[in-house]
Amino acid sequence: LHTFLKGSYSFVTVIQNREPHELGSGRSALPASESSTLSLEPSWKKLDWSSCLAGFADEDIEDGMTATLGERISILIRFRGSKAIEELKVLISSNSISPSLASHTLRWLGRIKEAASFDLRLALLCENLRSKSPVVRDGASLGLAALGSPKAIPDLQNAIKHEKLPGLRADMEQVLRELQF
Amino acid sequence: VLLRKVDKRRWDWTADTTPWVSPGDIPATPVSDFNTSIDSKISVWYVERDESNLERIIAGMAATRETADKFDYVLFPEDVLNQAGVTAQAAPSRSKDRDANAKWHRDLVEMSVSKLIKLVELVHREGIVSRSSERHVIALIRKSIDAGLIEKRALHENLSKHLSEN
Repeated sequence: LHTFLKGSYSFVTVIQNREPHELGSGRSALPASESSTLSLEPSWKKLDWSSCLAGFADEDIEDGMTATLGERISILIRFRGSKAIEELKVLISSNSISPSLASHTLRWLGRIKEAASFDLRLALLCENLRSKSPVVRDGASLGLAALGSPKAIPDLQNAIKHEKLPGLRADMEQVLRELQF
Repeated sequence: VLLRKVDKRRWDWTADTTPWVSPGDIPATPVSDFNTSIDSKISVWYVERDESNLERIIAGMAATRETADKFDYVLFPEDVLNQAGVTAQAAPSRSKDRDANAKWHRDLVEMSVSKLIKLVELVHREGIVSRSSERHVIALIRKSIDAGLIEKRALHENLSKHLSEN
């Protein structure tokens, strides 16, 4: 996270001064003494998916080893909201990011606890259940499991009905059971 | 039975999705789930016939992660090793369940390319690929912590926070 925010020191300063209660663990990226001397210019507006996803090459992404990615995504969604989600939608549908990275990003969309973006995140996850890539469909399904909303059940049932890969179908059925429970 | 951590998507295909694979052959993707160490070893776990130690093994391995996530694995019969000419040896592991490490972790040693390919083919044919969901993994880690098998303070800060929140 420190590397990610290196070019955004003023972002850290601004959010420390204005909305510390909203930051979660991202706030600890820089020592207070360091950030207090930085500019107040709101460069967080420049925060984008490119910097957020930087450093996550396809083959390096292991399950459970994406804490930094999760923190970055959480900050991006909190501060850029619907715009960030719309941009992610384009990135995934245009195959601008690898299926593996898309999968992990979708899982984090489900894990984020932020009411304001809930409906948009739910919609994007449901939409990606129909992705051409099984890895992305899996990520969407896992994201929905993390989101934990029964609203996803009809889309998930539909995805299961159309899923051709037996293993993925079983995984989606497991998610469906969790959402129904 | 032996366990190897895998990515389930690498083991999931049909003839329709891989029309370029000859009958009797399999896609190469599962091979990357059997990456060897620099000294040609592969880490596996011994699972009791009744799978009574399976949850502990999963919890111990998942507890080494930064965050909670699903856990994919393949279980395959031990005699696959004989068929592939592969030898297993007890070996240390960095799983967070120290007792499990001592009892059930194995290294497949002196792996060659031909042994590796044979092993992957046999595991594909005789193994069962499964998934523990993120929610289940969290429950298993909690269970091992409560039983004193995993030290909570040894967990990554994010994982520890996740366990407290969910």
